[in-house]
Amino acid sequence: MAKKIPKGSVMVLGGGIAGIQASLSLAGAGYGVYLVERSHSLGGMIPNLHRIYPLCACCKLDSRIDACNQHPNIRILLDSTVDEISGTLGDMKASVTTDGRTSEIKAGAIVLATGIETFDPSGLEPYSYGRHPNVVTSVEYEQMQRPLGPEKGVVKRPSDGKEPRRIAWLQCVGSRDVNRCKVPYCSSVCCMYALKEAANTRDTSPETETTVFYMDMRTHGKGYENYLNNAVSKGVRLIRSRVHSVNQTADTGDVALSWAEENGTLNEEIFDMVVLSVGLKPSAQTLALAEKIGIELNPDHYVSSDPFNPVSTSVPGVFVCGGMAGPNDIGQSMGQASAAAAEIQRVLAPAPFAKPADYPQNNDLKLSPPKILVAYHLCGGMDEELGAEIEKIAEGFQNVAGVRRIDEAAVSSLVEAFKKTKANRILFASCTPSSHKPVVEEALKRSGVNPYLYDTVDLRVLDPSDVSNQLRDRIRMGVARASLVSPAALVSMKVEKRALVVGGGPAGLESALSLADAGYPVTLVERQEELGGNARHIKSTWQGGNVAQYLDGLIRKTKDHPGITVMTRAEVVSNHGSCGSFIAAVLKEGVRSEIRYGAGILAPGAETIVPAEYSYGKNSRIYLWSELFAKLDSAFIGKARNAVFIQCVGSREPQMPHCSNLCCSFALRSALDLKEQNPDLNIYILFREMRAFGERENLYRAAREKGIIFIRYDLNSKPAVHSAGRDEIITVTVQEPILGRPVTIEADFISLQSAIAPTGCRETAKVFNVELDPDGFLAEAPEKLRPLDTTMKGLFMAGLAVYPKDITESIAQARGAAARAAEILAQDEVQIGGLVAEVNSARCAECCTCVRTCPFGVPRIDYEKGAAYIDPALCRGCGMCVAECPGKAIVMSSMSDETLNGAPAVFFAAAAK
Amino acid sequence: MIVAEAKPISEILTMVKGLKKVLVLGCKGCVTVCNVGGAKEAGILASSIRIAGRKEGIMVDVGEHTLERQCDPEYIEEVKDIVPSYDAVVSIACGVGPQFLSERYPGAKVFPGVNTKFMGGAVAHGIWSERCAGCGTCVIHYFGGMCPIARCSKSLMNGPCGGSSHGKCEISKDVDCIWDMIVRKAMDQGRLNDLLEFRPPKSWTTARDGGPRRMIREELVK
Repeated sequence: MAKKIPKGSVMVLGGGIAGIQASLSLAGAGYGVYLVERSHSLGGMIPNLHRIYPLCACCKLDSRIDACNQHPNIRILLDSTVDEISGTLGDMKASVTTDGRTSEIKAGAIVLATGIETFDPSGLEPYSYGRHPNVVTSVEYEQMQRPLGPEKGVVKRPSDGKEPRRIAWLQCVGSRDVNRCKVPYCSSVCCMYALKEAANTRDTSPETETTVFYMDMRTHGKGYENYLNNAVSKGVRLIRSRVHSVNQTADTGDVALSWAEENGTLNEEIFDMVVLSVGLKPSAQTLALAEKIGIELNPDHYVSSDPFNPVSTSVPGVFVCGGMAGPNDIGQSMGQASAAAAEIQRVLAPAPFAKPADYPQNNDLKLSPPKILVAYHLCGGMDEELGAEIEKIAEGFQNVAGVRRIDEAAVSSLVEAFKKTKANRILFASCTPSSHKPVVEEALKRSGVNPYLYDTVDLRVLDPSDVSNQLRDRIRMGVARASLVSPAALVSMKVEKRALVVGGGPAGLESALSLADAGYPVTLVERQEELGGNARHIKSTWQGGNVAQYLDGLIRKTKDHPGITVMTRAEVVSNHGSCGSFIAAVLKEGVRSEIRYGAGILAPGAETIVPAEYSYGKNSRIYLWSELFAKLDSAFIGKARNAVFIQCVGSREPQMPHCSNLCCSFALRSALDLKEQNPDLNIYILFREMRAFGERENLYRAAREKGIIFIRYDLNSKPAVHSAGRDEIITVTVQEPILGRPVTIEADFISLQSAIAPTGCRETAKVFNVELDPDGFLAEAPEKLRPLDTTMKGLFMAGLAVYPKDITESIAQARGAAARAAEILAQDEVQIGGLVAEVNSARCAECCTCVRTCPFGVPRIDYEKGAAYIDPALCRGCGMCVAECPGKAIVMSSMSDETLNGAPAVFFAAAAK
Repeated sequence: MIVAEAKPISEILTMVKGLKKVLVLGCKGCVTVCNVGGAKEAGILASSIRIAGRKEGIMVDVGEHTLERQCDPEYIEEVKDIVPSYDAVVSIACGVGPQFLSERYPGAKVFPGVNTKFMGGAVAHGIWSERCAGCGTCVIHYFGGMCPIARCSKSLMNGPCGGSSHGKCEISKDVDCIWDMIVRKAMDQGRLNDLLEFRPPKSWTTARDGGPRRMIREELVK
């Protein structure tokens, strides 16, 4: 690092998912982190949710909470509140009260991640919440749905315990409502969670009718539109209407809703139960704190930030992420959390509390007879008797050295039990053990044993009608397998301390700068001659920020940065290696060069489609959104009388089902800007759903106030655009749903909000061997809750290539991805190998079966050896080649024929006794 | 390589019907490479025979073993101690294997477990295609490196017949007309005239038409 910056630890306020992610990212980069949480446990909102697709929430969160608990550089302060913050960047002091005792903590920087509260609908009389027992909030409904909840996942209505057969969701309760509750913004997440609750209800009880009453269906995130289509195909009924009030019918406990259709027809329907989809708001206590330390808030009471610096606040050294920064979903919150970590790395050098954990020498106990530690973990709400039963069964085996229940501080208690029982391997029983694997592997490493000397038993799949027998058989089989596991081969590899960034748009530039500022050299590869990507076509952000000015500065900083090598007119043509040590071949104007790097960020961007409809290309005044402001001169705007914006051009149709996310905000922003230039201009926005999510809702309201006319159309009655020639007048005819008849507009110009398609992703995915999601954008890592990780370890992603989004979110993602990459680059060595396929050269017939069947293209024929070779760093351990090899020359240590044939023998022997 | 495919299991079960002890013998050569006669397939066939026996209420003792090759007597020797203890041997090597076994172990019942198809290669995983007819006198250099004997349905030597249509042979749309390919390649290379060169009729004495073949390399024979 060239410039002199202060050194310090970091304090993170809030132990929800954003705070946890920020702490882990920071600790990974070498900072000591104080994680301060108001309640008595970490997790925040998520443990209250039923599911975040598709597992129950705790499985994904527990491992992270554990990681925080175990990290030598994270100190957790529960039941603690921060009363006062003073000082400046690099030298801040916070007074923290824990259990009535106040102490002062010094930190170099602070991250605010205190999250949100849900809207309390008690004050809204027409919804009868609090007075009618069968009107519940969505949070309460999720509690009822949880399989570990009081009713074991069977939803019963509060008034009489009857299972409801007709449930209605009312959207926008405490959102988009300036009249009754002074919440002007859209809470952004409620459409998705209502769909989730309704679809899950349909899954578990198909006879239950689910109806969602909504104004605009806002499913604008990655894969969300598919989720919506899927919910509809499951029979979730959607009705576009804002229900005004909830009426109780006499005695029965049923709820009567009356609602108006778009054309004015009134309907009344009886439901068994009503769920209020309550909105989000910043949490009250932290608002007080924010005000005390002088952090600027926006009119919606969220922490205000610059569109080009999404996680910075008005106070230097204080950063923000998650719900405090605006109504964000989980993925956005986590991206911002990592971005906050990246921003801190720019201005503060890490001061750790402790050195990273040192592992004892790995001594493989190949020859000593197996002695197994049986450990189990029960999630809250699981039957406690399971534990006693596991202990009884396991103690009956000769080679079981001990049985332990593992709750908090999983790693250290495993290490301790392992040592005490003198075991040499572990059998771990829990719900969804794959999410606990990192804990078990870490414990084995700390015990100086090969981290793959364990097996697992899944308690989630036990059939409730026959728990005892199933448990007995599974434990028996687990013990048998664990005793046959052999240690997997491991190799240490040096981390190449350089990053590769693909793509020179804002996402690529931001991540390159972030990494370079943190001290890692970066090579940035851009296909085009100029840097800037799609941002070159954009005038302003939806908030009104000047993009051209920002972009110029960004490009200049990138080009001037001594740590960044920019390669334009270049592309990566091949890539191999693995996390920590990749080699990419770059082709620049016919010259091939090699780049060695440890972690990479893929930001190849996306492109807008060129539509074949709406007379595009046939009239000189029909523009794509991306060319509107470049081609439209102000003199013409001044003279124009009518302008038409057509939304969803190519998006949300069967051939391209995703929502392009930013087109609604673009149309609103542009319409407002045009209206300012020419107040007499009539502007018509033809839309399918107005997705002005989050605080963009304010633009939508302003646009309506300014007299911009919104006409909704359906896919089966799209607007018709006619023009006689290139410079002739344009007419647009559209069915007006309220009037119920077609209207024709003579337009001086049209802006088509054409879809954003992941054009370049396929090629990038092929070169880097990462996967794509069903819409063709870069896919998220299969572990979930890793919104910036690709399916290849060590490669991260940001920008439009992940899903369409605005520039502010792209910047947050880019910086977040940089922080994730820095976590790898901060290490000196990575271990590779483990559960991977190995070729026995003597048995290999070089038939190429493995080469041809591997889904990841890993095996190759080593001509010198005369046998197939499978790189342990690349093998994903899927086992396909092991099964296919006609010569039985490929083995996986945990799933050798010996184990597979041997375990049942041990099992039956035990069963016979 | 020599390409083979597994015989229908019903056919093999008929061969071993009523037998108590059967040895399945794989080969690590061509048949392993074409996924039909290696250690994995030997295991699968052995299990199938055991399962079929159990369904009939008979516990058939099925051994499995895979030889380096079944076309060299030294490897056939490897099973000399175990073959006599079996009622029959099912060889899943090409047609050479069961014959070498029969010759070495005259007392044993030897059955073929595969149908030997042709000499060819894998064009993709799971798809094999014939390339050589073993005629004994290679002429592919006259034809742009493609063999009209193995790959033309009629083994025509002087150009396509009237059944060539849009590059395909009349027998099936899945069969390329090799003469179409030969002519096009010659055109691409600007060597169409080479095909006009006069060549005497091909001698078929080196092919199967000259009777069973035998080859002696004097310098190798002691």
